[in-house]
Amino acid sequence: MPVPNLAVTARGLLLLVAAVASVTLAARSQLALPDLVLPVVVAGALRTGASRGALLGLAGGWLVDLMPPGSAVLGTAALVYAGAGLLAGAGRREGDTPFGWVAVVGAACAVLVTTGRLVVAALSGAAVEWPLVGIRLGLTALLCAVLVPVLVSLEQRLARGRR
Amino acid sequence: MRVTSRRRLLVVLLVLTVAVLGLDVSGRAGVGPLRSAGGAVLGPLERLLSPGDGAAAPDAQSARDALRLDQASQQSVAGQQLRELIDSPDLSGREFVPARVVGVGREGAAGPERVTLDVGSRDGVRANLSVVSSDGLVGRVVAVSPWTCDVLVVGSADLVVGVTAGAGGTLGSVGSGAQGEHRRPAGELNLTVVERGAVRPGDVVTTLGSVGGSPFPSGLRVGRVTSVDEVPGDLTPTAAVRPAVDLTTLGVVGVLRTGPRSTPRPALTGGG
Repeated sequence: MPVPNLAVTARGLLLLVAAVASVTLAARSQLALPDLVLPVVVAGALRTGASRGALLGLAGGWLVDLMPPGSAVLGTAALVYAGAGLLAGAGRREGDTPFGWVAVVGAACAVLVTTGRLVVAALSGAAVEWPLVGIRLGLTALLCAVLVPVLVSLEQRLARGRR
Repeated sequence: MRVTSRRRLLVVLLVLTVAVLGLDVSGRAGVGPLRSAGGAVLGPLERLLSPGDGAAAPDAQSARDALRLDQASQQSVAGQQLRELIDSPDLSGREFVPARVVGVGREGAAGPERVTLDVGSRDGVRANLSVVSSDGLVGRVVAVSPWTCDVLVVGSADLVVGVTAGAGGTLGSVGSGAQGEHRRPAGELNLTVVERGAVRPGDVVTTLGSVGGSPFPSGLRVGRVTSVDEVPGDLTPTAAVRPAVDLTTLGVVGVLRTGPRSTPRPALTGGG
């Protein structure tokens, strides 16, 4: 089987840890937190391409949707993260990925996820906290720029070790 | 896996996701089990990671005794909050299950709309019970799994509370500040009252109470009126309400175990 099972398991575990951490950290701190699930999705999609990236995003989004207390409408986070995975996967390049490109893809995915959330809020009639949305967007883009190169190089090392 | 079969799998999963989304929006049954399954599997993970342990024991009496004995708990934040909850005037004579907030959903564009508590159906919690903190009403239980429950908090788009406002006890309802004719900043609620000129800034807003005491019993504080909209063209008089509970600093809360009364009410004879 050509799919590296170890990498898939590692991605799944990372998604679970990120999803649990985002709700438990939000319960403990009052600060605006970045999106922790998105860097995992972006890193996996940058390594594997659009369709696998979208599947990874879908899985991560369903974890976010089902992690108590859950989304207001089930399935919204899944679709938004699947879109982010598709976008990041479309940005895959052969060979080594330059840092600037990773940062651009991460920022684009952060904008996509934030836009998706704003659309969901507008459709469900929820109040939008604009300062919070802006801070979260900035923090998420920053976290993607920092974390995605680390995750990508880890995955490359993992793939090289298996060969 | 070949590329075409993977794409087919992706399309099938996306269609399934859209189907679940549609079912949830339309409010039909069938999505509830999915949520509680998620809670049953993932909830214990959150309970495991909850800050501290022990103060929010499921039994109020034992928790109270433990607190009285344990002098050190006076200094801990959770112990202080539980003490405030027990001494809260809103809760006098009411039976409640103490609980701790273990997860806050901030995935949306708004502030927290849903929170997770570390009590569930095994602790006697069921859907449609109200959740209170020492300051007043927090929200309503909407989903229960064996060890955790999810709470829709006051101010979220789907929650409307029947209230009485002001000294005269004018009837009205409180909902999300983003709905209604006047858009309010996040963190403020929208109060719609039946009578013009009956509420003033500073008036206390309390719950009206529901049939059978569920979801909301009467007399819980919801918030305080901050400003009244004086627009002559409005069909319904509205006002802005600041919630009594600061949702960002929730720690220990109580799930009120209210239900329909079981004893008959005696009749009275007028003496005038």
